[in-house]
Amino acid sequence: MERTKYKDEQLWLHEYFDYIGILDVDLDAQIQMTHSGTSLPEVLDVLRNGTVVCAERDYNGCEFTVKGRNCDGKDIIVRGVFHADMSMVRVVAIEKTR
Amino acid sequence: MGNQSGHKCSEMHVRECVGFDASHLLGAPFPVTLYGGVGEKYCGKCGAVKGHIIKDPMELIAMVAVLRACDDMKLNGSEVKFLRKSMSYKAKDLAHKLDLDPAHLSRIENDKKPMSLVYEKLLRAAVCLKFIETAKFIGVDVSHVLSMNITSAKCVSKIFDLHLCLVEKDNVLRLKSHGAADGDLVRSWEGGDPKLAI
Repeated sequence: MERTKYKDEQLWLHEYFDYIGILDVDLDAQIQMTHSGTSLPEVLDVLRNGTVVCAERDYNGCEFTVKGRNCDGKDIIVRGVFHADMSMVRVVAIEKTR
Repeated sequence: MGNQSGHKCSEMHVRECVGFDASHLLGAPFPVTLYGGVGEKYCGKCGAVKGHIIKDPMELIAMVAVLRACDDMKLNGSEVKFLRKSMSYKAKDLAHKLDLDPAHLSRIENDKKPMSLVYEKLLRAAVCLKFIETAKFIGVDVSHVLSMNITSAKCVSKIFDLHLCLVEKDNVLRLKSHGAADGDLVRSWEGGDPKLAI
């Protein structure tokens, strides 16, 4: 795993999926998943084990970007939002590279 | 988040989604239909569906993988790949675990070679052991998986078809599989935290 300057967000995200795990997947993200041939197990794997490369906190939660690699060695970037009031992670966009 | 009527969808509501086809999300090569456990997010103004809320995606993946591994119908290449991905194994790692040549596993996943029964049973057992908690919940015995008679897909006209139902009242997930008629309860699983109900 790469080093990150968003250690807190990364730790929080990994713990969230160990203990709560409710996932809200936007329709656009679902379409991106279908087009890129990415599946939910891969996205969850990135969210649970990937590196947070960008995060922006505000009073309502946090916007984050996680980068990880799937089991076929392809890089997957997941953009999401954590809603503090609902204690829920929402996946906004998914991108598969390489 | 705009739409055709020009307004910005911001007022989101959630309703229970019945009959949600989860196969595309899960990357499953067989139909997986969820009756409950999934919330549908929609715009309060225009009614457009904006996404889905999955209550326990990891448990869902585990359950689908274990149920497929326990079904006696022969696995095809896409199903082998699906089971591998649900366990988050790289092809070479799974090949190493099964004592297979990675190139041979690749040929199996691409339907160029069938998987031998011995390796198929080992793969099924590996799935059950990986998701041992889920396997215990639904009463799967790994020794049964190792001794099961695998049915060739050519001998069965039906396709593997999984229906998962969640009864919110006592939070019991009822599962129907393999073309079971409506109402037939094949297995039941009790789990999840009622507080997390959508």
